[in-house]
Amino acid sequence: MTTRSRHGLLVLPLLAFLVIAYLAPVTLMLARTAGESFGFEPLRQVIASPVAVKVFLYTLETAVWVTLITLVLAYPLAFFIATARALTASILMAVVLVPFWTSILIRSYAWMVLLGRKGIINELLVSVGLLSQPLKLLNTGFAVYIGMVHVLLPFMILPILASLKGIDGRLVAAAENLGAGPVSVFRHVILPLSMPGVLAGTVLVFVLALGFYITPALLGGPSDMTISMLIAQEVDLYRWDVGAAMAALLLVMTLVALLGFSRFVSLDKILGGAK
Amino acid sequence: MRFAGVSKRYGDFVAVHTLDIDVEAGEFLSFLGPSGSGKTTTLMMLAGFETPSSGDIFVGDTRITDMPPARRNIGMVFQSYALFPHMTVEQNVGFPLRMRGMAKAERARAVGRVLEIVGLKGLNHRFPRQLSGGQQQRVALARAIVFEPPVLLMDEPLSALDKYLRSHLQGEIKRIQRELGITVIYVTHDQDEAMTMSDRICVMNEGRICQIDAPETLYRKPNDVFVAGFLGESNMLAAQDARFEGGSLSVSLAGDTVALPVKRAPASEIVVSVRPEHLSVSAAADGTACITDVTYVGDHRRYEVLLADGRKLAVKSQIVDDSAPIGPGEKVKVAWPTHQMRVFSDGATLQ
Amino acid sequence: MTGYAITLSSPLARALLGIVALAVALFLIVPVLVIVPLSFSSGSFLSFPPPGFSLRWYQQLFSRSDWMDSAWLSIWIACVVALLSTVLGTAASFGLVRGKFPGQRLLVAFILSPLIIPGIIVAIAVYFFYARLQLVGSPVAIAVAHTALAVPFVVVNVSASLHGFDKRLEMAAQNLGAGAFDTFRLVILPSIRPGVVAGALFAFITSFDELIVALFIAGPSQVTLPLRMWESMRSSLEPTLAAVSTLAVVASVSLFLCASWLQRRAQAGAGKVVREGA
Repeated sequence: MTTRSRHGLLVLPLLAFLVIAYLAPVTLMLARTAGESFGFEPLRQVIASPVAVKVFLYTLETAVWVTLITLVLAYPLAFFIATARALTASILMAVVLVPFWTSILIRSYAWMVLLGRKGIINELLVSVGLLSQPLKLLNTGFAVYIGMVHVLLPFMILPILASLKGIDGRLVAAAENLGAGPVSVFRHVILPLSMPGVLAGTVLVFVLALGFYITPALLGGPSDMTISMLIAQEVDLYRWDVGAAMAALLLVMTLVALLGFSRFVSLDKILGGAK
Repeated sequence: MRFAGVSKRYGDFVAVHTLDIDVEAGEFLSFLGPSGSGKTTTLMMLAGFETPSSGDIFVGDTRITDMPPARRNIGMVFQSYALFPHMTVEQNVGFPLRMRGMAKAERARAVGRVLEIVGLKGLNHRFPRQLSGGQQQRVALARAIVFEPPVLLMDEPLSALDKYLRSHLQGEIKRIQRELGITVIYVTHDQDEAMTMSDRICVMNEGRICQIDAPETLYRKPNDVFVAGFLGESNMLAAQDARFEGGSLSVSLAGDTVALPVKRAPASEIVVSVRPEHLSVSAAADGTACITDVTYVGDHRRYEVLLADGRKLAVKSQIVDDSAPIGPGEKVKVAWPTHQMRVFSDGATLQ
Repeated sequence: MTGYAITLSSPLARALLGIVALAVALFLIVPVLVIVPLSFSSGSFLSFPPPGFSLRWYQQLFSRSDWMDSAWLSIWIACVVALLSTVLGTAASFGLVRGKFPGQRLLVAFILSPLIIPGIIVAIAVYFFYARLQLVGSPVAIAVAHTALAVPFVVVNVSASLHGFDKRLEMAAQNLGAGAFDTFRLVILPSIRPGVVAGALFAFITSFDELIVALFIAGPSQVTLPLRMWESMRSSLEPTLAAVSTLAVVASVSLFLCASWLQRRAQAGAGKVVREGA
């Protein structure tokens, strides 16, 4: 046995642990999808349920929109940080990282405080006189979007920033020297060179958005139910097999999204992209 | 120290072909060659970081082929030193003694002694990053000799240093080697370094030994066409119309017929090598060659000569008096120094 | 990085970009900061601006045993998770960086997959599994499940340190007479320690902040801190929450600052860190 394959043995303890603590539970859970007589009844039940179909579509739609909004907001900030002076850049980095390091639960709580009927935003708008009575902001689809975009923004900003920082500024200077205006420089030099970061951030945000649970549960209304929430509800109602079938579908969606994107950007990049 | 039929293969790729080398105790032997010539692989096999695919390595009478690196008791100075960044100079140098279970007080004495030898007294408590490149090199050397190994390996130990420091440390390493009487195996791609320091040089190319000899022999009498071209500067000329007669080979070089003393008949194509400093040219109206360029280099002039058959020749001409240079465009005759020319056929010398 | 950063030469573009960037930055930071003054409010509702300054919510928090028990439970579990995932993850990183075996890329993807797979999937899978083994409600069970989620952070950080580790140092140690154990203890570990500690900190925070798995497998007597916060958010939204959140933010941010400082010290490849997002 060579040294290199002997070193490989060091993976075994973790592998054994993960097989027992992670792979076996997930596999057994997925096996429930088949149903008791291997007729895939739970899966059929999910597909036949109008509620489930609606929730799946709502989750997908939300994930797509949240990803797009996140991208539109993240790129300018990333670009500004990449071109800012050192001090400004490090302050803005802190602004990106502090929320990133704060748990999703707490960030959702903050939005509850801000958006509630007696929340800060309503109080402020009413006291200024812009509103005669408070708006219903919390427990709406709007609140879900705000909360999810807030949670996911750093996952988009960091990979884009990494690829923008990797661009050699001399290329921009060269393009300008060759007669390109600011718009052309952006379109033909900066944007194409930052695409790896954009793609990595997009995949990451989309995949994470598909699985959201805490934020929509706290900020959304009754109609803002995501797949994860529906799964939790089914499990609470002791309809475990149906919950498992939904989880299997969610897993398939996640993997399809990852593999679909991996044609354009490697998985290593996605995982390594978010600092 | 001895290599007996040692080779190293990685799959189908042969990194080192069968090596047989004997190194005498106290000898300074350099491995010299371009990168990828197998010299570092050879050193790694000696240190135990690579296992030979065949053959055996001995230090004295001990076979060390399968011995783990930690038990070989061979000192080594690594390229870029590999000093432990989190240990002080004293801890770095004391490390091998600690691994050998030496008591603390005794260790401190040994470290002090060896730091004095390498000229680093008083720097015991510095960390490597607080030292200059030259000092780091000395720490690496001290660490490699403190446990008094019979053999010291050095892998391009001076390549990270500037030219001045390099030549200074070359002298230092030689001095320490003589003081300790240690056997040194030195890997370098710098031929000047190998020439000035070594008792013998082993020139390697593409995993094979081309020639092992004293520096002067290698330079004056290369046995191998690669050695002739690699060491110093040589004009390499393909010779035509070769005729072998009674220990002499007559060949045609750009219209001149030259008779060269040889020991055996050539097998195929013949290459003749001649050093620029051994050639001389003289202005002659009926000369077939022509000067294309003259450069003044202080102690000599360097001529570029265009031969009748269109090939170029470099000639170094010592400046001994006030004679004017031969100008570009002038016709010249080339004097061929038959006793200093080497003849090769199939890469090996005929002489 | 090349050292030649890109620059924007047009002042108008710069100003426009600056306005958008500032707006996004405020959107990011204001919600996190807004909790802090609320936690020091003297009022009993979450009104803004607070009617006055007081520490009453902190006093209440520290005097209430349910919150304190939850905090200690979460810290205890997070410590177990940090220890377990650091040991397993460091060994595995060695295997992955130094070893060479078939299926290596697949194995890496498997080990890192908890970063990407929706939390609910792991949560219910583990719940079903533990329900069958009658382990639901055991803090050890929570720690085991959290370890699977936390170990990727250790693997990513330690692998990065190992990639940055100069292998010649290891060869030098062996050449100087050190065996495998001494080489690891005296040469490799000191060099990769920042990466190992950063990984351990990330693992700790991952467990400390984890809600979804705990939601399913924690019993009524093992309420972790995020779980108690979750329950409180769903019912009363008491201002004590603002105090807990402020403390949690301060704790997370300081741990992360330590971790990323260590990460930067951990030589090449530093900064390869992903935080799970759901």
